[in-house]
Amino acid sequence: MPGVENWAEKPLNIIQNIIDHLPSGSNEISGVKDYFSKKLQGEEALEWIPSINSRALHQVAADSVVRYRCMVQDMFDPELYLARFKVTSRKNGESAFRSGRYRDVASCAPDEEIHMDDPGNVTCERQTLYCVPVPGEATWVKDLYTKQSRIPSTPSTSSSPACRKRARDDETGDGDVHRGSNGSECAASNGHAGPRGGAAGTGGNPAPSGIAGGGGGASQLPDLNFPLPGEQGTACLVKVYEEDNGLKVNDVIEVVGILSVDPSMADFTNDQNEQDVTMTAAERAAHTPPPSLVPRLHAVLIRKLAHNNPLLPHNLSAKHQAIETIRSEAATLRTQLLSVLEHALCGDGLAAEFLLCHLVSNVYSWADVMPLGKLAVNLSGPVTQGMAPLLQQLIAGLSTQSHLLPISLNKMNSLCLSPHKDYEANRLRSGQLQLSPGTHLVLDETALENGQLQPQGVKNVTALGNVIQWQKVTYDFNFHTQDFITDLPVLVLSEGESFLPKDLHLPLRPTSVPEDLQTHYAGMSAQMTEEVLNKLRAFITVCRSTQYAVNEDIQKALQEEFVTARKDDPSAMSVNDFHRLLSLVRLLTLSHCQAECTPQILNRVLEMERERRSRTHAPPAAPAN
Amino acid sequence: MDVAEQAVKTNQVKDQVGERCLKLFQDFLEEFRVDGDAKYLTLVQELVRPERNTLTVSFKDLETFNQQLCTTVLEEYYRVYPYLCRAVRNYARDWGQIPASKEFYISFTEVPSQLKVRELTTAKIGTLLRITGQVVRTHPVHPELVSGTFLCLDCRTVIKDVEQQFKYTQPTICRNPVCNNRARFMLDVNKSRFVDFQKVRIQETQAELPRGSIPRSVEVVLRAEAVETAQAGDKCDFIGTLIVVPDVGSISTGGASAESSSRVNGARDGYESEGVRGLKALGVRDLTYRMAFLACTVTPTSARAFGGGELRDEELTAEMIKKRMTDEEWQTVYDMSQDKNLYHNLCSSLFPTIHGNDEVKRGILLMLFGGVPKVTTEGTHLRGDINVCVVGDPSTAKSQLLKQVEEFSPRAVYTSGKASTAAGLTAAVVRDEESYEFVIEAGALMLADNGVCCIDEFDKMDPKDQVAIHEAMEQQTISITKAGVKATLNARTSILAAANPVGGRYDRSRSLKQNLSMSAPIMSRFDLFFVLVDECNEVTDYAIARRIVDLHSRLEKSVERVYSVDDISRYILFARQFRPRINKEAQEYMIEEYKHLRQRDCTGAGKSSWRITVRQLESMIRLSESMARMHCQEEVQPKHVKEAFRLLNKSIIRVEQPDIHLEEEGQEEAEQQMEVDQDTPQRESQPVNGEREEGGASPTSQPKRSLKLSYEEYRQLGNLLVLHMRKKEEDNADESDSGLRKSDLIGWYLKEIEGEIESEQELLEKKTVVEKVVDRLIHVDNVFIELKQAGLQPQRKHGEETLTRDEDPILVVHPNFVVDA
Repeated sequence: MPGVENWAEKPLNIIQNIIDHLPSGSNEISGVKDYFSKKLQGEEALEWIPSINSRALHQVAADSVVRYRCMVQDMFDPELYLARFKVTSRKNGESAFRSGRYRDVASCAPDEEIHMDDPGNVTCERQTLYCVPVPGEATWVKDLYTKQSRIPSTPSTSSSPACRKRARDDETGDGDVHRGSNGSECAASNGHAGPRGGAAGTGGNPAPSGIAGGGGGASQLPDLNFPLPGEQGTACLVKVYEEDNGLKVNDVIEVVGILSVDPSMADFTNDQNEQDVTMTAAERAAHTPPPSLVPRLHAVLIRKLAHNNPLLPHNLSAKHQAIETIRSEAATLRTQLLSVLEHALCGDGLAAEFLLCHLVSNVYSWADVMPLGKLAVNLSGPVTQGMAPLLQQLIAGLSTQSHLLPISLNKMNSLCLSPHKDYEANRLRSGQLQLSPGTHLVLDETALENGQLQPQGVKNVTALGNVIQWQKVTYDFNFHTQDFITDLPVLVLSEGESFLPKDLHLPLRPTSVPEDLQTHYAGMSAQMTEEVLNKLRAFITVCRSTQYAVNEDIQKALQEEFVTARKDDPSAMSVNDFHRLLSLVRLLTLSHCQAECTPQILNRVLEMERERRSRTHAPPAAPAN
Repeated sequence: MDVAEQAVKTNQVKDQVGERCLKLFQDFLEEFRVDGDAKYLTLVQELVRPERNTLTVSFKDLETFNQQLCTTVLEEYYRVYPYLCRAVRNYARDWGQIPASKEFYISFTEVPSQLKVRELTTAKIGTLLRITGQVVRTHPVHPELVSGTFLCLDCRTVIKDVEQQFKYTQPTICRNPVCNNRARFMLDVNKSRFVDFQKVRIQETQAELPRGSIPRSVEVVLRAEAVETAQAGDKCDFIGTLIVVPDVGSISTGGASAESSSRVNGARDGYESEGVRGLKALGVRDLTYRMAFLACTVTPTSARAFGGGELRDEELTAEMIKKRMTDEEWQTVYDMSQDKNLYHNLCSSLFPTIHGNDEVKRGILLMLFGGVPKVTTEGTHLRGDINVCVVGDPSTAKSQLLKQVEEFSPRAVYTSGKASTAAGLTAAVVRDEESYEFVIEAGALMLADNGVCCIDEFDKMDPKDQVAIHEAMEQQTISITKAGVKATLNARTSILAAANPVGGRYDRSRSLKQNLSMSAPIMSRFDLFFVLVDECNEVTDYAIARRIVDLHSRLEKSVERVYSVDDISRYILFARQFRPRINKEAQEYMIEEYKHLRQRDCTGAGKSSWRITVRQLESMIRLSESMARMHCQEEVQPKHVKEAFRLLNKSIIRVEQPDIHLEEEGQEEAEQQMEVDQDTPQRESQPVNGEREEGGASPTSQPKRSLKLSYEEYRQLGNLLVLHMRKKEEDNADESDSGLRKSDLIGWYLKEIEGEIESEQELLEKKTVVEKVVDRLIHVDNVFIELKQAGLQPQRKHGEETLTRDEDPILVVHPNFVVDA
């Protein structure tokens, strides 16, 4: 595909060209955007663009068009850049204006001179977003995205810095614009191979380990600020040119942009005794990390991802083959999924049904301060001991993002779950609750032991409670706090009833208690072929995003239910109970992949609730056999 | 200001605009007069003192003096700034003995154009602006080189007055024409001039932050007298201009081309360095810059009130607020103040998703408006903040109420009693892990200074910890004496607490105090108490169900508001500027009501009852003021007191005995009762005479009479009857007929309270009440003894009568009964 080659690998030339030919006064950014969105129409076109999620940085040419799927972790202050600057050739004295958009360093040939203060220069603003790979993203999501890429993945043979340099020079050296790579090479070889060597080494792995703690130059490496510990991937500084982009922190976005890894951006001031007044060392490390570790990405197109499921098209409301198939097979898939969950919960069918409702839950609307549509489930019972990691693995295999958080006293007292602002480095230090919407949070309360909760622990427990009850995470800005809304379905596993708030508590009644949970869960994987799993994964995502409505009759019936239940005993149905009931009705409808509630579903919900109530009120019974 | 080479050039281009401004500004300083006095003369003369160097000029004065000059300064502030400073210097030299080398600076106040941090864009560079931000970081003060004197190391020539800006600039070439030295110079520190220089970083205030965004920050450069005026944590107004500093790395190039222009400044970087950066000389350049704000004036503030801003700002006047509003906003505020239904509309707009509970909503609304804080002649502060406590059954939307308030007012903090210790609420002394210094960590109450602190699950707090907030609730300060740190911190906050009753459900046969695990002193510090009871009633249940179903099924836009949240917060801010005074009638009315309360309190079963104290009177004043504020009135009128009294009455805390149910058997009527006291069972505990007044005050919620009396009330009535009987018995001691007929007794009582009865219906009600009381005294408490025909009546002739009038027995007081009033 020669056409693709052209704009995908030498986008800056094209952009220069577009901008040169635009009528004066027109919006340069939208002109470039139009060009690229035309080129990238249709889902397939995107698949021809290399993604830096799955490819190591050295496998991607610098200044080429790449894709990046990520979560906005922090928003830096806007920066100014020269959108247009003048260069004069020393040879013949000719001068011309160049565009400074979509690049970090000005380009000019060695015999050219840049006029930084020419009156014709234009300064503009752009915003920098600090993005990290989607936290808690399941491996199957990553794998599938990688598989979908049309770019043949070249085996990473070259991991030494020298090879890497050479490769890039070959690609760019014969371009008509002379970039500063000649200079950068010598910079790299001039005694700065230390930290770079480490970086390149990690970059050589198929999955570049961003955290790279084990590397030789660990102390030199900047903290990549991933919300979850042990996460891997490339963090990226995404430069956004559009104003009012509507992006919010924690949004999951896909960026198509121009990769910029020019080593001259790396900061070398550490070695010198230079006192820089504008930034502290910590700030520099946070805001200008070496581009080899945290590349810059100049965004051309950005789209918010409504879901992160590679099995389904971007727009779920549109008619699509894959969605139709799922809908037609909904009944079978549901049964299949239920049986899997039932097995996982040691044969408790009711719990499986509630868990299914939980899996398809999301916050679909806010009634003032009240999140609607969430269902935080607390499963309790002796059998939950050790079940959380296994259950989380199962959920990770089914849904796109999930995270297991054991609530142990030690962890609660030492961790900082909520993000907080670090004014030293002027960045938002992430916490484990800074997750993208739709991330399943599995809390393992069985890990808790007796002891004293320190102030930090109290804060963390409060934070968890806030997430469960209000779907809000409080970010600490030191001088004040700020609530950010979130959408995290929370599942709490505990021995007795959890001390955290919950929407629904259900003591587990396993029909059989397996000797070893591990083997019990392993027994499941036999029937879970990749094909089956993919269907179930798509099913859950489709269910989640189904539009839901309640017709008049059902509404009447629901009201009736509320009033009659309260007639005899007001405590039989509180307002909260009613909220839960309505949520359940919605979720059970969704779990059938249906858009409208039917009387059967309503009855089933009432039945489930009755059964659940009888369990919570009855003393914990000994498990059968 | 110029870079070095310009200083060397002989034919330096003069900035005509600048020169003109210099002249005009000097004229302004000389000629501007207020009441015939040259206003700035005295100010300039003060600058003679060695520690002073900055002249503060009100921009308004400049505006009145010369509109054109004012516009030039506003638009080209950065360009003309050095000339303005020179004008000050010239002027000062004319009037005082000023050392020749002394530099002067100017700082403007009262600059009109206010911007948000987010609105600082390239277009604003160089213009005079005002921004508000929270100081998050301060750097130490450094001396900044303003003008350097250099010594050429080759020929020892002295090069004077090399002007510096942000960046260390050496002369480009030695002045000595025969010396070609371009690099080897030495700075003569003693002959160079320095100015204090400090960098602080400010951050977008919470009120300006768009939803879902991370606050932005701006570096602020302070000079001369402005240094050390801002502390981390302060909210300050900064007046100055936006400037551009190149990003790190790009500054010290090898001199291949000229550095940034004089208007786009280089950062104050250290000595130039070669080395790796040499690669930049090869034609690679960073294209990024950073913006900084060069401030000349710093004033602490909590202003910039709109867009969900602060709820209060004591320094503002209503006029100022009005000025800050757009015409449209002002119109809305005006319309709101004229709204006849304002009270109700505000309530329903504030809590659109919460059904019913109107009294609570009203109470919270009044809390938001607040009373007027006062300082007595002795210097004691009387708080104006109203504290509200909501007690209720689980799932009666208590938390939602609190959350809503938190959402609504930005300076509100929501915290849960379960998860907070006293330290978490007030302030704690913590040892900093890095510096090992003790620092004070602000708790929720401090964070909510000038706002509302919502404490959920108040009862779950350790009583010890509850005590810790006593001080905050009454004195509005927090004192810390711990680990050698002694401090008194402001916590001017209203407290909105929610508590669950003891045992989970509100037991209506018990008193409020018994229902709450809260100490009496804490309870007395709440102005209003509300009780939410999860009542079962088909009609309301339907309504509630309907509402919730609608919410969930998105059939209609379920959040309906008469006024938007922004409108309300703007209105509240505006209304809070009023400081209503209590007028004469209102005063009298208030005294009257208080007397009633007191009397009722004293004549009741005194020893166990809650004393109505001055605290309640203060509450009444605060609530009345708040009512007046809500209507934007300067005067507290009796109608405001009426509503305040009504609310207070609904919530006055009394340690009651269980209510006396006068007809346990009357199932039907009991149900009626339930309907009445949806949210406030206290209503039933109204004394009879209080009830009457209340009825007049709240035509909307005319309570149905119920046959239930508070224990106190019952005692009072009983005692009254007993006393009367005793008196009668004494009077008739010699007569054999020592008893009194029941009907006579009732008749006497009704006659006694005749003055208080207005309608026939009321009379009948009272009659039933007193009958029931007498019955109870006879059958349950055995205070009265019925003398019937079979009894010990000595007079047979009356016996027959007794037989025939079985319903009207003769009563005598039990001889052992002691009146314990």
